[in-house]
Amino acid sequence: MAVEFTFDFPLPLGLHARPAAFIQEKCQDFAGEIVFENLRNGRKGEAKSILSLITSDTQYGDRCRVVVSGQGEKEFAAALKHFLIEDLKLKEERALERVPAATAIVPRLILAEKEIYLTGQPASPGIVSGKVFLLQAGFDWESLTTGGEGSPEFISPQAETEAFSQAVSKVQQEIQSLLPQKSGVERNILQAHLSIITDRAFIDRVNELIEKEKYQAKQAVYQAGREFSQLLEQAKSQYLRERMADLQDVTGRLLEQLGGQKLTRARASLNEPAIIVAEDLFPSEFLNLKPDFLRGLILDKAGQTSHTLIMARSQAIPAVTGVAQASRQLRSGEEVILDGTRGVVVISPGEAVRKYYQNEIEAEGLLLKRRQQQAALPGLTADGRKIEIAANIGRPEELEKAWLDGAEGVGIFRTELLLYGQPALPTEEEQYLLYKKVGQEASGRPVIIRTFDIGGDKPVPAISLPQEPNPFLGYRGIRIYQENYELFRHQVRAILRAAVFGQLKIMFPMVSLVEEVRWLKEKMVEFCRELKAEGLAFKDRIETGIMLEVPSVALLADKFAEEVDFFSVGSNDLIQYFLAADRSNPRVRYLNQPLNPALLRLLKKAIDLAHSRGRWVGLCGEMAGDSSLTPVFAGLGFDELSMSSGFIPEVKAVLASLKIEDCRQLAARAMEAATAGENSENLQRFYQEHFSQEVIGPELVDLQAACRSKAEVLQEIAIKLELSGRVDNRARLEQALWKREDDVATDIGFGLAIPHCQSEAVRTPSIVVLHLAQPVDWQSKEGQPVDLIVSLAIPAGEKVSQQLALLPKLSRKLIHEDFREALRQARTPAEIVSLIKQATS
Amino acid sequence: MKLVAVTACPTGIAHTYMAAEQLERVAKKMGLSIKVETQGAMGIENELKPEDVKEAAAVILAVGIAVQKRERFEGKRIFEFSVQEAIKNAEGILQKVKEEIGG
Repeated sequence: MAVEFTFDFPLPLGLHARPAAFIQEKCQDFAGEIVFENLRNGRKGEAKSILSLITSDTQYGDRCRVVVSGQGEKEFAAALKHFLIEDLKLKEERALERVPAATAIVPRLILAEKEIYLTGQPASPGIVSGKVFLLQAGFDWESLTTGGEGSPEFISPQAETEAFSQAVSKVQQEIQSLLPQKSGVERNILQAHLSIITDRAFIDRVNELIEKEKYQAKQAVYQAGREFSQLLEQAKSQYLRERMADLQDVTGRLLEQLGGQKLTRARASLNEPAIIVAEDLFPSEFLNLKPDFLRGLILDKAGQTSHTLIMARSQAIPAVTGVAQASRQLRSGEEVILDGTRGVVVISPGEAVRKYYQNEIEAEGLLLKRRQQQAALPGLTADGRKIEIAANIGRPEELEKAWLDGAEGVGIFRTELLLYGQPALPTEEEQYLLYKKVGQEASGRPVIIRTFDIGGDKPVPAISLPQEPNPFLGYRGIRIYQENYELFRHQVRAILRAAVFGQLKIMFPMVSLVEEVRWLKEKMVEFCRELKAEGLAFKDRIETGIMLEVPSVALLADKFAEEVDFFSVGSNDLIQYFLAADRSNPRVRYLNQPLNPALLRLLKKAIDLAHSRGRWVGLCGEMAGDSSLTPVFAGLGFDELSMSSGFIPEVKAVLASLKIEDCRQLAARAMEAATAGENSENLQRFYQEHFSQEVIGPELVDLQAACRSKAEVLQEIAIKLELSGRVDNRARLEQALWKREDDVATDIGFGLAIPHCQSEAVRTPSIVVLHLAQPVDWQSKEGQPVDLIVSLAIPAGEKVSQQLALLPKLSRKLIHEDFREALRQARTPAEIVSLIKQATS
Repeated sequence: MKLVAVTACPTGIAHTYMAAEQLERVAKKMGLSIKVETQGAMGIENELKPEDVKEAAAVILAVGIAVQKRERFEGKRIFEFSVQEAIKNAEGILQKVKEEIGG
């Protein structure tokens, strides 16, 4: 006798590993047999086996049959049915709540097309499509496919079975001992691993291969792992891909136990253009990759302010980080689209998504053209206050791009990057030639050379530094110079010598005390004396500055100013030290607040003290490149802003539109706020007050728009708004438009749709008008095709402003047929603009 | 016959005003008198005064969100529709209200 029942699978994401583990857990309580069958595809398996359950490829709404047989079958079947229909959903919802919110913006089209995609954090903007190249440690699979019966290693099936079961319990123990220390996602993954390793389907298959095929244990594990991976691969589901990674991980652990040969991480041997996939990438590895071949980066663990990503941004290489298990979810040679602007990776995309990204790439091209115009602007506010806009570089090769981007100088040349991946330190002569070249290539522009900042997060192979519990608070920057005296001496001498050939300045990192600066200057005098004695050409009056990254320097800037010519704020470290938050720790990332009022007061204090002694102050941290903050920095009184050169054009454009007095008022207000959140609002208000423009212009009109779907219409609106500089992030605007469509589709009949939204991405109220060449389906209940689009975009938080008041007038006008017809009949964008203006006056 | 109405939608920049315009336009065509208050991004406009409500034979709410100051309409006959409906089928709505209150 057996008891059976059917049910429709209730989870929207289908039967993936987590619910499979829940079901397995539940079924373990029952001594008898439980068979699970998906009636849609006929796949059938043991409900106590996770692999059987997930390979059933059960999706939302699939009708399934469960047959329970054994002692107490009736009671258990009833309990299981209730569990499957009610509890499973609750458990799953609870589990999903714990998944941290991703910052990625997934284009709606990717969801609609059911593409497979991965998400992470946008880390370097830009879009690229191409093949991936996996950079990771792996197994020597070759060594696992040979051997077997007859090979000297093979003893007997019994011995192999025994070895396998020992390996299983060893790995099981390993995982179990790790479990208590882990929480959240990591814990879930370990639990999934645990259930795979004790999975009956897997264990049975391995033993079968050993007994019947006379495989060695390691070969059998490899083979079984491969078979199940292939099964999982067939199912086109996001979750199953992740499970495949789990399975490979578990097989890897077992193989290690069984003596499989592990290969070390392949030294990036890229010989064709590819998108690199890795758990993390050291700056040295990044530097070793051929720039022409490196098209993009997909990383799992790199922090946003890691040097690898800073370099990626400076070289305009698109990147996404925080892609969970990236290196296990992608295979070398796979085609992907990497969207570094939104933090999305689409795997083997279909036609519609390709077209979408083609549009995006075209838009990027147009944005680039605008950038080039902006790059040519001088670093001046509208009313003529000079703020030098400079580039941060790590290698001399980056200079060329920096000049193209419009850099007026180099605000920081991070020389320690020259040391990464180098077995030996560069000699004084090598450094001299390099700095000389940089000075000459700058052709008169100032270049600030920052001396080696080693330690902390920047270990260097050629110098052995002690392991420390708190490297960021320990032995780094100039603090190591006394002990590593020759390193310091050769570099400073090289700079003094090279300064003859260009406008070079020297800057020291990690200064906390005035005495430190005095020591440095004493030594510089000594080096000059040496050089003179040696008869070498050098410049003895070189501008000397220090990094302002330790709060003590800020408050004593007037005293430091008596010793130095300038300061440059390293905002990443300053924030880290001032707010006591490790910048590489995601748990405390919320403390990384550029608009924190205490931080702004500290900066203002430091700048005022420095100015009172006639010294200038620059900013060379990451936040200098955030153009939305430019008015704040201008208002605080910074004399120079230095950034990844990619940000320069935008910052220059914003600067050119600012009046210094407005900025000062903004900064004063910002220092009076209590929270960074209030300051975001202050900034928003500032933009609204000072950047008001007309709600529509001809560039926002297209009378022959070629959009073929609703998705393309919304994309086109977002692109038009960003190209006209009215929106600073089209991805977020597009998302906001979709969100409004989700509430209720915005077609109102008469072939007219009015997609609209209020979003932080919008700088100024704007109207876009599209007349479509071909009507599109608006995916609404009525389903009437739409050919006329009037789209409204409003800044977030905006209540009553003059421009906003225009929009209700327009909305009212759109109800009238004669007005709609006039819009449809218009021959030129100018006609539309004047119709809209009349309607809103 | 006198009617009053309130229109309101989540974003408060488009549908609210379209619905108001449509109700006013169609009412005029049908020979009805109507005063429409909008509750949108511009705040409350053309606000219904106690005497407006008192004189009205019925209250039409064309809304996608909660109506502000709803207590004003206590004891009145209230007809509630979606904003979309008011835009697409104002004539149907007004016809229905008219029949229900026996005008």
